[in-house]
Amino acid sequence: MTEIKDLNRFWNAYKESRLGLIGLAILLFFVTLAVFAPYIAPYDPHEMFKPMEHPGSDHLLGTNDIGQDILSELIYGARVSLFIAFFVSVVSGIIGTAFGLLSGYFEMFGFFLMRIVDAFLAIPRLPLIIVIAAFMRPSIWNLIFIFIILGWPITTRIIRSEVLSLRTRNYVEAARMVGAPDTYILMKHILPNVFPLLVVRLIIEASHVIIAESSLSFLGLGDPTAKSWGMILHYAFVYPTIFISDLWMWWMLPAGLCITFTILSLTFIGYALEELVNPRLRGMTRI
Amino acid sequence: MKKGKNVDVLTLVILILVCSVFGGIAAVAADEKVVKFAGDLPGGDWGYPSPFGFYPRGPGYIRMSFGFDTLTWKDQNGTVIPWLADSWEMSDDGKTWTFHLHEGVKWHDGEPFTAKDVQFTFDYIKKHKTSFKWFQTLGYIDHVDIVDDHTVVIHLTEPFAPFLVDIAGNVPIIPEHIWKDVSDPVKFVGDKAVIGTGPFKLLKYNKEQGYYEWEANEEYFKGKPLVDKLISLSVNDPALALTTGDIDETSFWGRRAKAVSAFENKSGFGTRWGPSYWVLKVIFNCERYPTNLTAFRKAIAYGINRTELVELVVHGYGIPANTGLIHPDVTEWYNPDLPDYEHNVTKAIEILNALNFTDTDGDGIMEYPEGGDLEFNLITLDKFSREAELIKSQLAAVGIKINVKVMDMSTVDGILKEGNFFMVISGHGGIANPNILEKPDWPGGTCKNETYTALFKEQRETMDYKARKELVFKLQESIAENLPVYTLYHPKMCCVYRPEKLDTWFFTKGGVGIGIPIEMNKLVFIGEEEVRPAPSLAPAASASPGTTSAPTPIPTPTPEPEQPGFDVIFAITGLLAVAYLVLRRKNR
Repeated sequence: MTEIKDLNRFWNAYKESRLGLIGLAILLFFVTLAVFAPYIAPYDPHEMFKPMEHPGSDHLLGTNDIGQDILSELIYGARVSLFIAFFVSVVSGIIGTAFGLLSGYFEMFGFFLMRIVDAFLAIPRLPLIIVIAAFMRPSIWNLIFIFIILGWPITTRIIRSEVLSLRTRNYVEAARMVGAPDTYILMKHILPNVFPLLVVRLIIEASHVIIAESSLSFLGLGDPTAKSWGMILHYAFVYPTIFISDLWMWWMLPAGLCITFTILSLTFIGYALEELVNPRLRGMTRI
Repeated sequence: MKKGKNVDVLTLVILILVCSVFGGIAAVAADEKVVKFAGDLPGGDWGYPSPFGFYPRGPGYIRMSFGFDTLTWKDQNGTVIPWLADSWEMSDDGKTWTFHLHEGVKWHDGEPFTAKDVQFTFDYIKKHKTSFKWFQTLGYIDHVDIVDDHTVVIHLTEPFAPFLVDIAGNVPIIPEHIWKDVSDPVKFVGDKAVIGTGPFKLLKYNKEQGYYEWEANEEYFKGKPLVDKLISLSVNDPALALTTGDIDETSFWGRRAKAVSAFENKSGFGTRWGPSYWVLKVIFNCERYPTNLTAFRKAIAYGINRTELVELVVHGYGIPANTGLIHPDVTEWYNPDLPDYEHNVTKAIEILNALNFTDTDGDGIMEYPEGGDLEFNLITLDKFSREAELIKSQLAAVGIKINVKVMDMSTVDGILKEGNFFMVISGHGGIANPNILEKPDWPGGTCKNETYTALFKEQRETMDYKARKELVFKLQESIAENLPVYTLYHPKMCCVYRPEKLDTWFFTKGGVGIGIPIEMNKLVFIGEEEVRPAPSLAPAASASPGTTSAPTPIPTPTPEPEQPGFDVIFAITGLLAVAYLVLRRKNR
């Protein structure tokens, strides 16, 4: 019961934020596309028709250089981008939180772990991702692996700093004084309190991953036969007449807009959640 | 605080203005004639343009040939014409060639060119065989005698039919006074390493950017070049660069030739179609199971639909290739009676079943006789990833699972040489010249066949054209039968240029040198009347989408107003954004 009440309270607070609602609506739109892609998309994105058709009744956004329906590519592309984004952010979130909790709560462990995190954070992300992707076979699972490896340290650092402050709160000290075991304190008193922060972090991580995946594909380091938005951009970009004709309007622009709007929606949701978590920020972001 | 912000914005604006002014100055150079061209391949580094430094592929040789000359050369019609040698005679047995060299030729540093340089060149390249990575047949050269300062006699060990093109028209002559002290020619770079007799002197070379800059050799013995400066650079989007004037010439191949339609009939641009002696092929690893089985390779050939490939991926700007490599336009050598492995999925599956590949678990993918999915990598260049994607889906219908792996050209060439692959899609030119048949799987080297090699050698030493042609036919039959490679298509090719800069571009029949299909014959840049292209080229043999266009009349010199580029739009957007932010801050 309390969970439902909490959720209701949360929703009531959340819907106060116009940005948050817009973001949520856009995100839901793309999630629907991704989940129901086979039903929504007019064709199989790998099926080939007459190449370079202009938009028309058969192909709403025309066909690409080897005759695949661009609209279907976009719809299936949502699957790839969103799947990678959410999978990575959840897994790296779990790993990051676990390490964050432990390192914040146990000082020695924290000290050593933080040095590792430092090392990871010192490495610029995208260049490293490019190097690794260039050496490994660019498949979706390899990309996911790389993003997780590079994603957890930031989460760990953020969670740890929160845990360090929570640890000294009176109720935690009180619990410790009455002899509550560490796991109990961590799970019952600390985890629920870092949770809001974690959600914000997950959202930001998801948008980072979408950008990184698109950039890699755009640079030609993704799986060349996968249908992702970045890959659509890549093939459009290397097509010889793309910028001296109208092609870009239905080949490049939609994919670019999809990426932009997905990231925009995640950013809006992130803002809205951040305001909830940190009431001091309330009213700072308005449209 | 507010004031500080405004100052920042002001600085930014000034900075942008200053940058654009300097950019403008750099663009408007003195009134010397500069021609900039870009290859079709982005990232166009073709190595240091010295005879030992260039990347051993056509465009590399071409860049080197601007600085170095050969004894003979080819004109537009593919006829061998006198170059450093004015005339030559062959002995009756075909083993002795006498060359009378042109008098008064000077090296770039002013030293005179003599017969000694020719002798030195052949001795030197023979001594540094492994350093000269380009096609060489110097094993045929026994020794070179000097008769006088301007006469040399080249003695061969065996008669060598294509001597005038493959050796005399291919080996760049290097100056003895510079190279005699060089022990490691590959590492020898710098001003001296590029001193030749050629029409251009290298000014700048930047490996990272793939940038070459030459200046005209004013004292060139064939006349002063038509341009003062020649620049080769690499651009991301050649069509866009051509429109904005960043380059003056480029060529489009295969599917990219679609861009040509944007320039045809557009004032200020000329187009010229060429046959393109170029082939894209699937190279098999003949040393690795299962691609070492001829029947397996045949199954793949039946599984690939080349007609669909040409239609969907090349958009009709190409023709299905001759399975024997030689381009169909080359009537002297082309064997028209070869099997073409018409698309036939059932037949492909039958062959695979006969080899004990069957789909035992019903997942649509065949299994190896010893178990495990029939699945392997197909390596290709980013340029050909669409071809690979289509072949992947075509072979999936047969039951072969392909993973496409994309790499850059030098990596792919390296993998081919190491033999660490199953299937590679790559291509090359030179298919107008039977010498390409020496290694059908070039640049790979896994397919060895002794009878074939012997046949090739015999062909090379047969001086009688008819007998030689028969042998060349047999070689093509062997390739089509054994399939060390399965050829995919011959692309069509078109060069697009700005006639006000230079309008002498042409494609050489049979290719430049030993058969390089690009439009960069150095004759293009030389002003002599007799080497200028004829007013209109004969239409390309096969029906090309736009037949050869007559040279566009040179437009009036009034330059068109430049269209605002993307950078301008970005700059304006940026300024607006800054202005908006400043205003917003003020309102608060």
